[in-house]
Amino acid sequence: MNIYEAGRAEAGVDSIEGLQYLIQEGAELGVDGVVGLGFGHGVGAILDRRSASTAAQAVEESPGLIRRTWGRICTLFGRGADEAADVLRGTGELRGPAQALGRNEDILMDVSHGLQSRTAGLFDDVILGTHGDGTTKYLWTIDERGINLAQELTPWPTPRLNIVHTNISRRASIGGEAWFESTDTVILNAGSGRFGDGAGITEQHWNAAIQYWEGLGYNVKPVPFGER
Amino acid sequence: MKFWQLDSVCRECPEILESVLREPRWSAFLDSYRNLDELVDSQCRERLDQIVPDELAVSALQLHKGKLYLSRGHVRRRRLGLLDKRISYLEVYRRFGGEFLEDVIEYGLVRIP
Repeated sequence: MNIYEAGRAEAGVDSIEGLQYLIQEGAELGVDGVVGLGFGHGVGAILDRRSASTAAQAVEESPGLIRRTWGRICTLFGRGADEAADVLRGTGELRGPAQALGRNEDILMDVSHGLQSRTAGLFDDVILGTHGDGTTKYLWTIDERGINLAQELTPWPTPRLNIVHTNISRRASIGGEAWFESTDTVILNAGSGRFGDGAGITEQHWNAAIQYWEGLGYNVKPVPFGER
Repeated sequence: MKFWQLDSVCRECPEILESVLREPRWSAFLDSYRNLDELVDSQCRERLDQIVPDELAVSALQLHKGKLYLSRGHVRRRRLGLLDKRISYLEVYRRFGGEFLEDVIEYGLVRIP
């Protein structure tokens, strides 16, 4: 992903819309702090040197300085985007869900609700189950935090009573269902209408996801691509 | 098929469901539909899980323009190959039921029993 080029194409080098685009994209990639640092530093310098009282006014009044700030942002953001891409490990780009969300399906869960995220190492205290069993099923996604995992039957105020994939990730490269045969053996599919088979993933992304899970230390029993 | 499941499968075209529910005979469901957010927030399962009459489900789904696909023993949201057979929401409902149809939307594909 080259956010720098995307930002340029979206709004042009000197425009505040371009900066807003980068900040928004950065926030969705989880690098908003990095972008905010660069942007805040540049605008702060402008405000110190000129009479502008708002960030927008400062940007309008200082195209030269903001151009240099822009370069700084792009450098920082590019690094952040590269780091995010590295975490995704070939499973595709982050994207929003492939379907409209129902009530409360956009409220993100966190660790306090049982969510676990890993870029290395096994998940803790998993419940063992068998393929297809709804009571022992986990949902998983991959995003900038790594592989995320939560029990599907985690109560949540959605129409179906429990969490869905978009309660785990607002954007993800891929997602599906999982059952743990043992603490280090997992059965995986890409059963997600939001981030998985229903979102048009490729076999290449599916294989990359399997490798990612194996990289955590799991013996993976993948369901064949395009099956559940 | 439960009321929330019918709403879920019509999520991309809510105008269809609302237009069908405007018929006087479905007024109770129209009330649920218009208060759906509150019903979900309060988890009013009595109304969310209410089984809709088959006639209501058919009326809504026959207006649904969405297409699903049949291949390799699954009904799926996305075409997997050129030989996939196209199938309507209504046909999936009639052949496999409302819960099956909603699962296809939620999980992207369901194995045919």
